[in-house]
Order: sequence, then C-alpha cells, then structure tokens
Amino acid sequence: MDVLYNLEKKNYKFNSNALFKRLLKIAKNKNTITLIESKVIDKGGFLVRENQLVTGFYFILKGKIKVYNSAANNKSQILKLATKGDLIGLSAFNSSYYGASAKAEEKVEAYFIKPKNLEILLSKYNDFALLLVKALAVKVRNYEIRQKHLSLLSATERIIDALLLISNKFGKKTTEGILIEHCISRKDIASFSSVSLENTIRTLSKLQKMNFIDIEPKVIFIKNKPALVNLLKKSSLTTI
Amino acid sequence: MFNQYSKHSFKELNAKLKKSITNNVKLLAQNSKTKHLFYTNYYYKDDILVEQGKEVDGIYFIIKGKIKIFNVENLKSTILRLGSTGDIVGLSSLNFEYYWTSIAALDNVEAYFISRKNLKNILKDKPKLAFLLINYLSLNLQYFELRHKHNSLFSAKGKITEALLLIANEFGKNTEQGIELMECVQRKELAALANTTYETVIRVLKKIELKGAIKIENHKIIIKDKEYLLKSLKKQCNLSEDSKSNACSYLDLLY
Repeated sequence: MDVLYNLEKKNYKFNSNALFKRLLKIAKNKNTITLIESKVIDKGGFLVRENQLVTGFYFILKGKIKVYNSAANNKSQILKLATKGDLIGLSAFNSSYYGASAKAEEKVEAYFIKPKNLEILLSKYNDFALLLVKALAVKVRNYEIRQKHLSLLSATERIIDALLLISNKFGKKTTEGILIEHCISRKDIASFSSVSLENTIRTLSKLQKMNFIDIEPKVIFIKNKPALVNLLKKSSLTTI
Repeated sequence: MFNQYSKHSFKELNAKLKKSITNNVKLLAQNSKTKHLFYTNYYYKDDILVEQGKEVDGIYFIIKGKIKIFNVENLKSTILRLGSTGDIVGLSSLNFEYYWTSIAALDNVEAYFISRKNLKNILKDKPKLAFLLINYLSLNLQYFELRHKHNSLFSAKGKITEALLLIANEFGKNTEQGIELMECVQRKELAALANTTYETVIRVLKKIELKGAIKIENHKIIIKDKEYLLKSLKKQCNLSEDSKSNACSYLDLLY
C-alpha cells in the first residue's frame, strides 16, 4: 500500500529515475537525437485518444495527466494519473489502437517516440530496454493492486484510496497538509473510485467533518494522510 | 517485431506472443551457454509456485500447464489473472522485495525458473528476450485497463459472464457439446475472478443455464452458446442510445 501512496518514496524522485536518466542522455546523443521528439501539450490537450491509431509513446518530463477510458452512458473511468517520470501509451505497444485517452491537466512537456524509432532505440541500447522492462513491471504491479482495491474495498474506502493516489501524484506538501489542485472535482473522484457522484459528495463531507481533509474552493488539503492510510489498513486490507 | 498496424485481435496477439516466448525460452534453456541459468520445476495441481509475501528470488516461464495468479487479504481472494503455456509469472514483483501475489498450479505444471540476477545477465546478451518481455508486459497492461473498465461497466451478471469467457479463452477445450471448462469453475473461484459473491455466482449461473447458454455438470461447465454470452455483454455496453463510445466493439477480439 505504501508503494502507491507514499509521497517521498525513493524511486519516485525524478532525478533518481534510471529510465529517464538514460533517456535524457540518449536524447542528447547526436546519433539518436532525430529519433526522439520533444512535445508540449497545453492544458486540456490530448496526448493520446482511446480507439485512435497508435502513433507513438510519451515519456513525461513535466506536467500532470489524467488517463481514462470510456464507461457506460458517455461517462469516463479514470484509470490512473501520471506526472513526470511516467509513461503514456505503452500499453498499446503491440496494438493498432490506444486503449485509453490521456488528457493534460496542466501544460505537459514530454519526449515522444514513434514505434519504429523506439524499436531502433531498444535494439541499440540494451540497458534502456532493461530499464523499460523494469518500468513496465512496476506499472503492471500498480494495476494489479488497483484491481484488488476496486474489488475488495467498500465505496468509502475506494474514495480514500482515490484521494491518496491523487495526493501521491499531484499533491504538494504545505504547512496545512498535502495540497491537491488537480483532479478534485467530485465527478473526477467518483470516476477514479468507481463510486456514484452522490456517494462521493457524501463521503467527502464525512471525511471533512472527521478532520481528515479540508475542502476549500478549488483545492483539497489532506490534513492527516497517515490516519487515512490506517483507515484502509484496519478495515479491509492489512499490508501489501 | 512491431504489430502496430496489424489487424490482429488481442486474443491472437496474446497467443502469438506466448508461443514466441515459449520457443525462445526453450532454446535458451537448451543452449549450452545459457542452460545453467534456468531451473526446470514441476508442480502438481494446487501446488504453489510463488507465495504472496515471500522474498522475490526470480521469475517463472510457464512451459506447460495452467495457473492462476491471485491475492488473498483477510481471507478474501481476488484472482487477478489466469495463465497457461507461454505466460511469465513473478515479473510484476521484479523491482520489489516481496511477491505481492501468489501463483498456484491448476493442473500439472512445468516451468523454468530464472533468478533475478541471471535474468538481468541474460537480458543484456539477448535483446530479443527483452523485446518479448516488453511486449508481454504491455499486453498485461492492456488486459488490466480493460478489466478496470469492465469492473465499472458490467453488472454482477456481466462480470460472471466475462469470467466464464476469460476461463474459456485461457483453458477452454472445444468439444462436440461446446467449450468445456474444467479449471477455475468452483463457485468460490468464479466469485474471486468476477469480483462478486459466492451466492451471486450460484444465482447467475442458474439463470444463464436456464437460457441454455451453458450446461453445468459435476466439476465442469460447458459453454453451449458463446455468442449469447458475448451479446449479453455488448448489451451492457450500449446503455444509452446516443453513446458515441465504441468501447465494446472489441469484445469479439478479447475472448
């Protein structure tokens, strides 16, 4: 559980992200500089869209992204949140179409690599291939954990889980607690936690009354993160 | 290597990839320079290949047999994935200290085990294996993205129908009567795979049997009308008439 929620876990520090360190070196190498494009996507823009043909993959250098796919009644289901050090589009590595959409919640800077170019880089730099294997293995594990949470946790617990995941990716530490400014609309939290909108609103009020969070216009503060994590550990889950 | 413009379905890609992995790994395990890196392990039904919470020592390539990957918490079990020949297990725990899931054999299993250290060394020398692992992990991600979507999209009946189709896809045997499912058909296991309760599984299976789509016999389920099961899932996707989402057009490709 700590792997998903911990704000300061070692391998989350961008500077020590081995895959990106390697990628930054490759991007500056004159032999491979043409294989990697730098892209900027404005807030609200799409990096990839569900069911569109795969054109390439993104390695995020800066910014905040929401990854989602379509659910019933034109609603969407948020699969995960991404920020610097994350990869977008790689679940479609050997597919014709992207399985989900990725939208920029704020301005995004990323390296974009076309499939054929990625193939060349993986052949040329074996260490890069190994690092990519490791990075994808971590992503699979995170999805496995989410699969379990979505099936075992109650609605309230799923909302707490969603808040903790959002704070992990998009949160900023302040004196008042962990500040979250993105992906905090009730609709987004409901979508991320697979809970109805009404239940989400009700639960967030309850959490505020219990002093775990503070809701202000356009922001949420997580005042007591360890206590929220303990709530999950006590109820349905023990350790991961 | 790239199937980017291939029209192959998820099911076909998965099958091709698993065959390629099996062939490559068998060659490496027989090659005099690399065979010392692999250990061949044999398991009987219900044996545990990997135990949740134990220290990670390596990964397994399934050469023969059927497995299930699951997690148990407070006596509640979630089956995350089913696997068979060509699947790789333990990979998602590669960067961590402890295995997060358990892996159990559903029948006689033959697997090659390779330690973390040896895997790293072999990947340095054999880039093709690294490509295959990247392909494999990517398909895994796709699988989970679809499962997450279905978790919210389908009712309990839909989730149980999907579970039957997943088992059929992985373990089903074509017979004159239909697609025979012998593994993972205990009500408790179906509930763990479909993320519903035991009682709901019993109720829903009876309903589907009354429609004639399946036949329940001792220790097995026969899918007599797969099209009916697929249609009932597609119905659940088209909940609003003006839905622009073609989210469920892939169902034929998935199962």
